[in-house]
Formats: sequence, C-alpha cells, structure tokens
Amino acid sequence: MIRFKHVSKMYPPNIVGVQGVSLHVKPGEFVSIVGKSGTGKSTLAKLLFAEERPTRGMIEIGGWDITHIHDRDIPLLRRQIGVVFQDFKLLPKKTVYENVAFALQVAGERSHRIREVVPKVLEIVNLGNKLDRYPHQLSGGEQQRVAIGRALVHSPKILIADEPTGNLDTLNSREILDLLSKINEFGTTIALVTHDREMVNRIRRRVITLEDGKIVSDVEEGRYRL
Amino acid sequence: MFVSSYRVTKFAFQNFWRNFWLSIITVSMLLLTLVTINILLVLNVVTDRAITLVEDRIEVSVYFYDYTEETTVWAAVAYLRGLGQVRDVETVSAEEAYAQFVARHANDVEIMASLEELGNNPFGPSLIVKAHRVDDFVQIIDALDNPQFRDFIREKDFSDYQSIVERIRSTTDRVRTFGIALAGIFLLIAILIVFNTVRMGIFIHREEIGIMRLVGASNRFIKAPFLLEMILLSLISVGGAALVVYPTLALIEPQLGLYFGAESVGLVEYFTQNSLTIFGGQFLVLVLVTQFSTGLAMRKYLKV
Repeated sequence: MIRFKHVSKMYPPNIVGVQGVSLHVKPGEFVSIVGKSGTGKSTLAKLLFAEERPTRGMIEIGGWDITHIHDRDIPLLRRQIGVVFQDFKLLPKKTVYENVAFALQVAGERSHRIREVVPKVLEIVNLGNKLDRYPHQLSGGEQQRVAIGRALVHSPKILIADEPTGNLDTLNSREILDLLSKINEFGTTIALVTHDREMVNRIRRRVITLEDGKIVSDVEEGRYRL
Repeated sequence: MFVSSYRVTKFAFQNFWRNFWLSIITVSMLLLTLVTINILLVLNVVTDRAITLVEDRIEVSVYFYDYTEETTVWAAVAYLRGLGQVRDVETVSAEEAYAQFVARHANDVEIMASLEELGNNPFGPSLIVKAHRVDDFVQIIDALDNPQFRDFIREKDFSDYQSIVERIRSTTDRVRTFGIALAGIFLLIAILIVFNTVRMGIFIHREEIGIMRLVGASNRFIKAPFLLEMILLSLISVGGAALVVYPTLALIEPQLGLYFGAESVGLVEYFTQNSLTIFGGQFLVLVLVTQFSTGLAMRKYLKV
C-alpha cells in the first residue's frame, strides 16, 4: 500500500527532514510513526500526501509512483488519502454536516450523493445527532471526529493522522484512538504520527521509530520506547 | 461538470459578498475607467460631427465680371464639375444676384438709392463651389487660375475653414491625449485594485483554500471562483457604465444640438446602434485586464 525506497528530504540550506527512509506498509495495516519533536515524523506524513516532494528516493502509494507527481494529479491522490491534523482544520462558519459535505462539494460530487454519504459517515464517527452544530459548540474530541469524518467521505484507502490527539485530554484521546481502530477494522490503512506514549502502547500494533530523520526501529506489535 | 460550475459560481458570489466593500471599490474604479473611455468616445463622435458640419459649409464663391458671357460661365461650371475635388457647383445669374441683393437690403434706403442711381445691374454672374474636403480648397482655387476663365473672374472668396477645422482637430487631439492618459492611469489603478482585491480574497479564504487543497479540490476549482468573481465585477462595471452613459447623453444631446444648430447630434443613436460593439468590446477588454491581474495575484499568493 505504501512503499518508501531510500527516501530523503532536505530543506535548504542543509537541514535534514528525513534521510534514507525505506519502509513498506501493507494494505489494512495500522502503523504508528513515533519520535521526538523534529525527528521527521510530520515530514514523512507530508511526503505521503504530496505536500512535500522527496529530494531523493522513491515513494509509491497503492502502486502509484508519486515521487515526481505532477501538480494537477495531487487532487486525485488526496481523494484517495484522508488526512487529519492536531488542529482539526474545520471551517468555523460551517456546521458539522457542511464541514464534511465541503470535502465532497469541492471534489465535484453530486448533491444527492453528498446527502447520502455525509450522514452515514457522521454516524460512523458517532456525530449523527450533531449535524447542525458549529465547531465552537463541540468538544475537542468531537471536533476531531468531524475532521476524521471529513477525511473518510472519499472512502480513502489510507488515513494519515498527524498528532490527532495532540490537543485532546486522555479520555477524548482514547475515543479517537478507538475510532481509528474501528476504521482500520473496516480495511483502511492507518498511518498514525504521534508522540503520545499512552496511545502507542494501547494500540500494540506496528511502531516505526524515527530519530534524526532516520528509522531507528520498526517493530510489529511495538511499544513507545523513546 | 455542471455541478462544479454551479459551485464555482456560488463560491464566486460568496467571495463578492464577503468582500462587499472591496468589491464596490473595485467596481467603482473600473467604472471610472469605463466612463473616461466613453467620454473619449463621445468626444470622438462630437468632433466628427463638428468637422462634418464645418466641411458642409465650405464653399468657394466665384464672382464673374458683369460682361462675362453665359457660355463662359457654363464652361466654368462644366470644368469645375469635372474636377474630383468638387462636390457641387451652384450657379447664380446676374439677375438672381440682383434680386437677392434687393431682397436683402429692401429696408436700407441709402443702399437702394445708390443702386437706383447706377441705373443698371452692377452684379455679374457667380458660382458657389462646394468641395468634398477642406483640404481640396487650395486645388480648386488654383484650378480657377486657368487662362480660359482667369480674366473673367473678378473675385474668389472663401472663408478660412481649414484653420477652423485644424483648431477643432488640435483642441480635440489635446483633450483626447489627456483623456487617453487619464484612462491609462485609471486602468493601471484598476489593475492594482483588482490585484489587491484578489490578494485580500485569498487572505480571507486562506483557511478554506487550505482545506480545499487537503481534501482534493482541483487547482482549477480553487482558482476559478476568483476569476469568475472578476468577470462578475467587470460585468457590473460595464452595466454601470451603460447606466451612466445613456442618461447623460440623453441629457446633453439637446444642448449640443443647439450648439450645432441641429435637432440631434446623434449621440444616443450612435451608442444605441453600436452598443454591442462599444459595451461588448469594453467588457471583453475589462475581462482580459482583470483576468491578467487576477492571474498575477493568484500566481503570487495562491500556492496550489
């Protein structure tokens, strides 16, 4: 599903994002990418959804070589990859329903299809009863669930979660983790970028540890060991 | 395709309403530019009318001695009509000239007494020659120096219309140059304002644009509302210009008519007959200019 071959990302003048990263994530896997701040976790995530281009190496997503992906093809890639962030990135003047529908609207999806899909997705993230609420009327955990719902509307094969619990308390973090596990059970590959020790240890799935932009450990059913 | 077009249009209108005052400023500037251009156009039409009016009045009066034979006069008429520069030749016989003089001075006792004292008709036949263009004057006058007629011609009289036409032309040329410079400055300001409006629009929508990119909106979908918004502003500006131009023309036309001594200068008629070319052309140029400016702003501030 995801394949990195000797991928490096350098920033001018000579700053290392990631260096010589090679990894292979199989379809349906749940991978946690852990490491201290500044070790290249977010760079790795950005390389996955083509927010950044590698300086060297090769990246393949679902058999698609995106190493030198053309600008016009990036939207196609992003409709196959869901992304959630620590700061939720919701539109404050849109309701829960509208925020999720927005992702389909801008991709040119037909209105009847949007009316069909959005409520279903919001049921999955357990927000079926809060369609008309605005983000400021929701808790942090609920806002993150809206963001996850939005990431799911395109039925992506991969979901990248970049520090999704960074702004949440323990209880809400657990809820989000459970939701990600549930989505993974449906067959979606999850790449969780985090430095939340408790989350990683709770999942007990594959853990890739980064240090200074390099993979220092890659363990099936691993634990947070930094 | 249809769904996307509908949403792009919706987003363009949203941009317009969210940036309402900025949109108004942009439209005002575009409107000012268009009004200036239309004033130039009016000036052009008025100048043309004025020159035509003056050219219509151009005539050379050729007075023959009273002893000139009628055959010589007719030969002169035929000769003049054969010249390419001559539009028309009117003949006034000695008797007609006398009758016209008497009619004109019927109430002037002294003149009538003097005329009576002379005893016979002192007037000779004359010709009124009209030229096609003011520049043709000199050649017609030169042509009348033909030895066949020279000795029978007492006087060749023409007013210096050429200098009048030249004065009209030079004045309107100066006004036109000033107008073009003014329109150019307004256009430049309009381009900068459009650039700034788009820049502000991108800034206001940066969150939305970021999310659009994240969820897979195409570059075209992200850019199109900004381009469409400027087409909308161009359309409003051209509509506004038409709303300003027509009533103003209707208002000033009678005044100009008085000046030109005609019922109508034909300004409203000219603008109505050529409305598609005038306002359609202005809309197309405005669209090109605003799209160029929007393109520059997007290139600089909208990284998609």
